[in-house]
Amino acid sequence: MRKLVSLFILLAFCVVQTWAQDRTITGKVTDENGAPISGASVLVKGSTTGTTTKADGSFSLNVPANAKQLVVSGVGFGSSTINLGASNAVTVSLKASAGDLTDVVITGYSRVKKSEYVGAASKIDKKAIELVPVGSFDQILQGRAPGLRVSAGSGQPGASASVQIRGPKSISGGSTPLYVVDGVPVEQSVFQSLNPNDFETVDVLKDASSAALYGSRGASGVIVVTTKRGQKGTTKLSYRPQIGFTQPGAQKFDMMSSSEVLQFQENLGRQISGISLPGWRFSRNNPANAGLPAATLTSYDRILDSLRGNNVNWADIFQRSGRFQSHDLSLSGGSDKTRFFLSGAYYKEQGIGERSDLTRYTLRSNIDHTTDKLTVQFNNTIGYSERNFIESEGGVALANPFAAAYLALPYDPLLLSNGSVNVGAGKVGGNAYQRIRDIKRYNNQLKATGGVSLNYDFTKNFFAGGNAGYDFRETQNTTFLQPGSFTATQQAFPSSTGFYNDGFSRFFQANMRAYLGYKAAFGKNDIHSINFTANAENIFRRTKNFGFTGYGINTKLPNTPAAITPGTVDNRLIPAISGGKSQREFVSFFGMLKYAYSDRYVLDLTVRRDGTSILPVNNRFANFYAAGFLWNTLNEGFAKNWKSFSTLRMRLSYGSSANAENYPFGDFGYFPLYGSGQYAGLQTLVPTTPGNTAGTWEYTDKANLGIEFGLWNERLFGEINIYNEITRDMFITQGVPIENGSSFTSAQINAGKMRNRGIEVNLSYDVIRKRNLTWTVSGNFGYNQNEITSLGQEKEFPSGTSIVRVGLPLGAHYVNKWGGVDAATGAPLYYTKDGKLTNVFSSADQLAEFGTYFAPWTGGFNTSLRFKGFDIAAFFNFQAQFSRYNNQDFFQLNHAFAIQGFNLRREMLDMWAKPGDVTNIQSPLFQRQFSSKDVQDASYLRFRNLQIGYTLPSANLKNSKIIRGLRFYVQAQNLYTFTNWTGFDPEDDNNIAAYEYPLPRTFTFGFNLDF
Amino acid sequence: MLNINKNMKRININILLAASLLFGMQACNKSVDLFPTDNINEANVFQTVDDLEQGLYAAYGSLPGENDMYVNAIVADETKISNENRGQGQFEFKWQYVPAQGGSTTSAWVSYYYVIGLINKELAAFDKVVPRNATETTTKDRIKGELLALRAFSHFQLLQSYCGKYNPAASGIPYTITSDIGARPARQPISEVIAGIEKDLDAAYNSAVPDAPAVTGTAGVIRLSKSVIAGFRARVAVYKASGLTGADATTEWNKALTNANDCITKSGKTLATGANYANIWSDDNEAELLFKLRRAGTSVGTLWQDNNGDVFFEPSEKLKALFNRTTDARFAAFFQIDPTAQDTCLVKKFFASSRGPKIVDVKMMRLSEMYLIRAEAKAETNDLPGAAADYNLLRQNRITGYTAETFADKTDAITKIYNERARELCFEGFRFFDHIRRGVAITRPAADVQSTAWQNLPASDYRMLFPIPQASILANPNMVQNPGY
Repeated sequence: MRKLVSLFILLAFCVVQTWAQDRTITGKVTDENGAPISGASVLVKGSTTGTTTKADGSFSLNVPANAKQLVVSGVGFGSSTINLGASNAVTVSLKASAGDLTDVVITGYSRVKKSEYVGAASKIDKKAIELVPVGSFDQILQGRAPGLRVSAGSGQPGASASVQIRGPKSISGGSTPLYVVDGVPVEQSVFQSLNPNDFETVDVLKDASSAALYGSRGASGVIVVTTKRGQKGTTKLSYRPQIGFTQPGAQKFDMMSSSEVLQFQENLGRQISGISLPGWRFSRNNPANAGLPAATLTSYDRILDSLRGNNVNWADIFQRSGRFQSHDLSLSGGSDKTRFFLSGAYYKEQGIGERSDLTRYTLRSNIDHTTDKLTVQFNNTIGYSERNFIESEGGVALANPFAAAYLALPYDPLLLSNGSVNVGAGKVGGNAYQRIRDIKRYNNQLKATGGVSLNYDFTKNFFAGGNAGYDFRETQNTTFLQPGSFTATQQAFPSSTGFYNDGFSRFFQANMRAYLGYKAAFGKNDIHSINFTANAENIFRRTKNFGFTGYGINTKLPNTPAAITPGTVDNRLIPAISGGKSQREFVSFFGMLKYAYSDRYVLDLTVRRDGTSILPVNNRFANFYAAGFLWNTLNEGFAKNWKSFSTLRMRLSYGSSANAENYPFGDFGYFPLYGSGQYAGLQTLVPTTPGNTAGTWEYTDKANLGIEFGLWNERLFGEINIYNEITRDMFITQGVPIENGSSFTSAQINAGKMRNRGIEVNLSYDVIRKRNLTWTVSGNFGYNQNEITSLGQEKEFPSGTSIVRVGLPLGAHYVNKWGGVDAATGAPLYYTKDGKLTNVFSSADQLAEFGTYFAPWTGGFNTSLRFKGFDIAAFFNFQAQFSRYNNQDFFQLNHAFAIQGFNLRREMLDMWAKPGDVTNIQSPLFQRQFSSKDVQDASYLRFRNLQIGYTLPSANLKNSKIIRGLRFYVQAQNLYTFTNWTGFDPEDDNNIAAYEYPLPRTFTFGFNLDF
Repeated sequence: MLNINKNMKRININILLAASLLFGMQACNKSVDLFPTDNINEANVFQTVDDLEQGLYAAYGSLPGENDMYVNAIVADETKISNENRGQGQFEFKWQYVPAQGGSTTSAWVSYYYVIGLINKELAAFDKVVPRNATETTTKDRIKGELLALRAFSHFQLLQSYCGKYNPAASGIPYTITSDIGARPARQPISEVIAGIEKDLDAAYNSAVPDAPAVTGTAGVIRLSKSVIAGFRARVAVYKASGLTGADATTEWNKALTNANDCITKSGKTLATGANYANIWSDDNEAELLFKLRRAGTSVGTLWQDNNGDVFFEPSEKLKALFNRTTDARFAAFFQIDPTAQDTCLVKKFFASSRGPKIVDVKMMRLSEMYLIRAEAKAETNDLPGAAADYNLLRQNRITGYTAETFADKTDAITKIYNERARELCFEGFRFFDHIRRGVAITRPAADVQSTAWQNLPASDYRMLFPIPQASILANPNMVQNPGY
């Protein structure tokens, strides 16, 4: 090896000989404190001749005789231009830039300076992520980058969000981006065991050129997480504790009180027969009671009075204020060659629903090692988390406490006079409350992610390297039913004997990449430069799951598999077993070429061939390409006098990608499959899925045009991108003529087309930039117009309460149009397809004019103010022009559910009672139907985060040799929501609101202590 | 010199790296060839003779026998709408079926082609299965025979539903013998469909299928025998003969006669009478029964009534009037007065079994049908005494105190035999098809309809051919809808 190295040095020397007429500049690059900066770039201005500094900050560069200036810049630092004088030795001091990595784009495999980056990417800095009291980091990204639509589907601690970049890319598959942490692709939407406080930056890669590294996996964009790394210098210890509480947000609807429910029951009884609810049964207005003796009527009055006297607020019983605390300890530092970052954290969040929380323990170790030729990075994290869950989350079910809280009758007490819970038939609140105590539902998860990457420069021109990593996750889901409990007695045998269910699932994915590269500069002043790499990549995934449910739980041994009674033919307590396994494999070969001309133009080209096991044999390998172009306009001669501009860059890119990560058919969905059936007591074999042996990728071709600008020394900074993305070969459900002997009437085929086009704007402005006072305002928004442009030979097909139709955006609601209530009869009215009012409800009159649930407008803005030691930052985000089906309205404004013994909303007291009543609530004589009445505008603006802090002036800490910094802060998350939506939470990940766990409002106090 | 050497070495190293990259590419290309571990893949589903048998049972289990029974009864004249009907089957009864909403008239298309698909998929894999011994070789050959016969039967039922009277040149249906999800087959002339049916039935008949109906476990005669295949041949011959004239017709009537004979002989069964006959309908015996579909649920039992006792269709007045209520044992076996709804008469033929109310097997072929076919064939070939012998034998077994009849002439014979079919085979899926093959209008008395619009459907009316489902018309550019729709 040593021989080899010296060989290349000699070789390089030989090449150097040819530049003998030039001169050699040597020097050192340091930070403001004089600490050397390694890896800083030193360039001859106006050319691509350059080098990078060694670990000690030193460099040596042969420059042409006519070179006048050097441009020096480092990752995490600003840049500096040095005039070359007679001296061949220079010393450069660089100032740290505002965000440590703001001037580079991290693509997962490489770091590219923004001034050389051809794609469209947004960066989310650690300041937006750190210390936010949310368990799953994807929820934190909401509103932080233009074009990134994040919708939390649940406020259950640790729940993952629905994330989309530049709109949906598939009808039947998902559109979740690919997630890459330190170069390791990780499982989508499983983040409960990752510690966001370890994150340095999150890069959102959007266009074809950005995602070119990911080819067939990049259609939905890529979210690249980079974790913190050690810096050379003093070893730093940092402790960041935080405590606080969660609380339910305010609701925009009122349920009826006991007296109102009883009144409503009477209203029902007046109009329809057969009502036996107490408000009617004991009413003096009930004709059936007319002949009763006075004493009986008086006793009825007393019954009603006593019911009116109970006013249980079930929402208060099922919701709580949860406790929050987190502790974060990190140690970082290093020497010239080796740097480290170690962290350990504890996170505990109690949800606003009883029996819901997240507890997480994480450890991370990141190590970097660099020598002259070799760069090695090692990252490893391991996390263990435990979550307790409410039941039937997001389901319209009586076991869902968020449903029971509003369906339960306020006159039913929680506890009986003997102190036991009021359970039994129709006792919605009591039963759900009892279930919380009788059932345990929780998961334990172990997740480990790690990777190593290395690069070796053989010569000045040739380099090689690679990276390898893994993502491992094992989740154990447990459900336990206490034997002998009330809830157990409500179950059928054998569940009635109590049960213990464990479900294990394991995910393992390994990735490997090797590359060989060549870089060179040539031409006069090295005005041309190229960088080419040939890459081979392999990713494989193995998944396995198994589970069992055992019965006959020993009451002395709660909540353990040891309590299961072994099943016999006689006791019939046979445990149920299930399980399965699967795998997939991905390979790719790709070449990437970067060509730069002067410091003005950069051209990036990628060509790749991707293969995967999830596609049928004939379509397994496919080619992808991407091209991107960057123009650093300010470096043009004509821009010399554009003094106001500090940055001006134009970008253009085009390329292809596909949705491997969201392929709708799982690992082997293309195979036509058979399953087992029964006929006449005999086993049969029947085809179950037609498969799709001609299936191919859902391709997305992306075009992007962007401009980046900075004015007045970056005081105003902005970026505008416009894009057009065409998804083709999209899977649609197409009719199959069964007379072809396939035994199927429909199949999924690649025939659809969808377009996403839009604009993204990102602006920040430093209103005040003074030493003791800074005030910055920044914001972003994205507008995405989605449209289905073709469905092959189909024109439309319904999908739940939505319709997939050419010319409409995906997620278009498809229901009958509400026309009010007929004042004469109380009948609900609807509009026909031709716009005429009718009292006939017909599915033929469904219309698609009520918008989509994919918000076209998304964005966020924040403002931060710093005055001496005080800082305050407020962040808002919004989604607009989207609508969702409010199923809560359907249940809470529906007389049929009152008849079944549930509580309704106060508006129901306006129910039509007699001819001439003008109201929007129909008579109970008519069935309540799904209609546009329940489709609501869900646009919202949310005061997402407020943080107020105070940093002790360093002067105060001077006496302490140990403490380097101290900052106290308070913060509030999800402080307030402006919306017309009347359900729990307008922010959700689907089309229909169904008592989902709402996001909590969280208040915390914490401090950062640096040693 | 020194430099060159070093350059060489550098090149060597690069070649080495490039070579290992290529080697890696080769290895990786193979690594994506993965197969599922947890699913049964169509490519390897049929590996043993047992697998083939399981595939065969799936085909048997998917035959929509009750749909034919339903559609024949309500489109023709066997039923009338009960006042407890909430809309069930009404547009079929009222001849208002359309391609997009055809109910049982279009579901036959989907159900039978589904079975044909199952069969074709299995036959495609058939030759790959190697029997392990002589017994398995026989079993395999038997299975093949049954699959081919079922394919022929399925196409024959489709032909009767969608193509009308036998006319060799007229538009038939695709005779599908492959399974290709990408195929868009066109309609073939009826002659080609019949040729396909006859070819498959011939191959089935010459396979190792047993002669007599054999009982499978406790389920009964749920598999085909040569007797039943001969019965299918007889039915096909009757269909053809009814559409032909002269010598061509005589040839087919003779075929019908021969095959009905063969079916009766091979069956080893005789006509049942008394309690034995009544018990066929409660699945208590299989006298006269040659082939049936086993039902574990309430499928056929709920065609005319639902589980809570509501009656959708009653036997028509026209049908009831055909019986002598006192002497004909069939009247009590087929009809019952509903105890929950006064004056409502129920279809009792498929009503209950010892396995539970409304859980009854679907009878696909009974011996008496063969006597009726033989009688019709003899009458058509001017053997009136022979025809009368079969006719009288059947009636003797059904009617107490029966005295043998003689036929005055051919027309008298055909009319009487035709009416006997209406009595004996009612609700068994023959009535509408009998109208089709003979080109007879459907007529209903006023007592059976609420509107005169539903009284007469002329033989030339477009609705005598059921509509091909809209889904197939949309999905298959080569499919041509029946005229009128």
